[in-house]
Amino acid sequence: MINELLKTKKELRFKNGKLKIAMFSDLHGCTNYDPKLKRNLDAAIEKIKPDIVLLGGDIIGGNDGCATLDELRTYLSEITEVLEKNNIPWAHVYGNHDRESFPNAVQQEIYESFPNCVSKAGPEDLDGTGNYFLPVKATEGDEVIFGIWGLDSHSGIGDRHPNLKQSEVILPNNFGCTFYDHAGPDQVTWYYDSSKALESHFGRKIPSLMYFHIPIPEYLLITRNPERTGMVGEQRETVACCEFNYGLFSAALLRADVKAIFCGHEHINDFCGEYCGIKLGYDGGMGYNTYWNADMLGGRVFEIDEKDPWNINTYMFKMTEIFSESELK
Amino acid sequence: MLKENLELKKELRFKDGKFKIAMFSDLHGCKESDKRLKRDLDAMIEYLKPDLVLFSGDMFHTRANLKTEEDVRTFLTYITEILETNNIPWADAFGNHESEGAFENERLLPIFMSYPNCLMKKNSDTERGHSNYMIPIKNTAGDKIIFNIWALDSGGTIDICDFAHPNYTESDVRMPRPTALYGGEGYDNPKYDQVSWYYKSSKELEAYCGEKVPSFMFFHIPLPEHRLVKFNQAETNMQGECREGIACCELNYGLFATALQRGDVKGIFVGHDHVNNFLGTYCGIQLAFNSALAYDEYNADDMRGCRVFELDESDPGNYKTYCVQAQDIVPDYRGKGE
Repeated sequence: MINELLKTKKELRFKNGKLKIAMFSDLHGCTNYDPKLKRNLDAAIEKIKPDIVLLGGDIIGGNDGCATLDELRTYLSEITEVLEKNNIPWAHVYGNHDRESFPNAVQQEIYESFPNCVSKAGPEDLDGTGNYFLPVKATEGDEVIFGIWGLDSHSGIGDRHPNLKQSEVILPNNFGCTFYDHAGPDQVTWYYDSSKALESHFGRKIPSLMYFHIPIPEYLLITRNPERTGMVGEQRETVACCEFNYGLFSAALLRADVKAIFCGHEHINDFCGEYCGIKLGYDGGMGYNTYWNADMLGGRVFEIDEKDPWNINTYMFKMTEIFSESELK
Repeated sequence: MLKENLELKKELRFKDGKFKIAMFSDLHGCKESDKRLKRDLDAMIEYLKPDLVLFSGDMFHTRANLKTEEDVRTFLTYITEILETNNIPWADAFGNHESEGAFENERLLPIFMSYPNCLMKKNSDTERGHSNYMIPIKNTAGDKIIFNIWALDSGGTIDICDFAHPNYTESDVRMPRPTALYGGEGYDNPKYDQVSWYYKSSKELEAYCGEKVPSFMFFHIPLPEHRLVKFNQAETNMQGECREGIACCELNYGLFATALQRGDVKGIFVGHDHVNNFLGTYCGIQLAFNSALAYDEYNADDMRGCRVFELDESDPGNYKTYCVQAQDIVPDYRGKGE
């Protein structure tokens, strides 16, 4: 288990004692993507100068998709051109839309064929593709300072429980969530066991960021208690999390290594708040071939200091910092 | 894991294709319990003649003043007399009050286990809680496990003890009631390591038996999902009484979703809310309460009783369950019980 968890195609490191991660979600591209998507992403990366880039799902699909795997490859080459040229390691997780063109497991090969893509498929017997841990080492030496967890948050509850009707799951007086699914019991157990294995291996907990596409129910506590959770940023649409709670947040709370959980899915939410010491939040959106707001286009930045890795500093980067709203439209 | 799970002090088997379970909750007994507590328990057991008796927690009162092992034994011996005398197997799933007395559950468990007919077991695979075990039941012929019961320790008040970092207690977890996710109470639930134990044990049991074994779960504090029954009574076909709120955990450790995924749990039965005894069904899983037997804590005279399960070997997963009221069974119920 440990070898699989710690393996990476390229070594990930802090630089001069600092680590800067940029997360972009909901690109919703493929064959006929709006060229402003690439223009914006390239400009954002050039401005932020991240050490690692994370793509938080719905990278393709929605209104647009790919007809062939070659088209997927072409799209990804264009989208990650700046990353590949500058050897910036990047990783991704799948959203609910990515699978509309091809099964995630089929796409994985294409993603991993990019020299700087450090995504991993994860254990074969685990539900979904893209369940992994990425260790980040200190500026010098072999000490693992920080970690990044990726999970497959799947698509709809209907895929997991074909015998359950939506009206049976979402009752009139429900928890406030939706028929979208999330990482299930086997994946949450895998995170819990893996986290224990890492602690056993290193003799300490590794502070980490976890990312996936669809939010979890605990996000509702942020929007409902903005002052108490220190909510920063905006909520312009419903938090479309899963009505079932698979216990992921509670597992992270018990393991006490994951201190930030971020997702995509809602293109016009970019808020962040903290519950029980764990930051929960969104990263806006990037895609044009879908619904979007010019002033919500952007990504989320995480800055970690090697000497204080438990303290994850995070803020939104907005495209309006580079382009005017009319240029973005 | 499997070996520990399968072990039972006394083998349980269906008798002539039938198996009857009586589940009592919230006895809240103490050194000088109201005599009617034992009177009612004994009368119901004599009437029902169960093959197995389960207690879904809070057997002791916080004010029980049980300071020594002898105190604990005095009460347990007194209350389980009819079970031990008649060799009726029994077990408890610890409630919040078991440990709120002078004794931690860790010390209570060996005392319980010392009773010849108590089926409770230690669990080396869970990090938290002390009443996490399964009770497999074999067919009449004794050659196949055809039903299983999962017991879990649902803890007390929330206390996320994380050894290297600050504790998170109920004041961190609880949100004000209108803005909470699951009701904003400060009680705990079986935690993730316990959920994981159930998940893995369920898979192991299925592999061992060659098929999923139908089962039910019982523990003390309700799950967030129990609220869905109270607030959607028609949709969940709720039967029985709901006379108070659902004091569940504000954190959801995923036990319901995990049981749903495994598909072997037919019902999740809890105590804790003394004047609820309803049963509703959500996504095919029964979510139900068992009202309190207590005299020395808040209670309802007309609800005091137990929950009965009647299993048939031909279809054990489709058991019959209903509540039985002490007032219908105990002679001179409203007498003083002298």
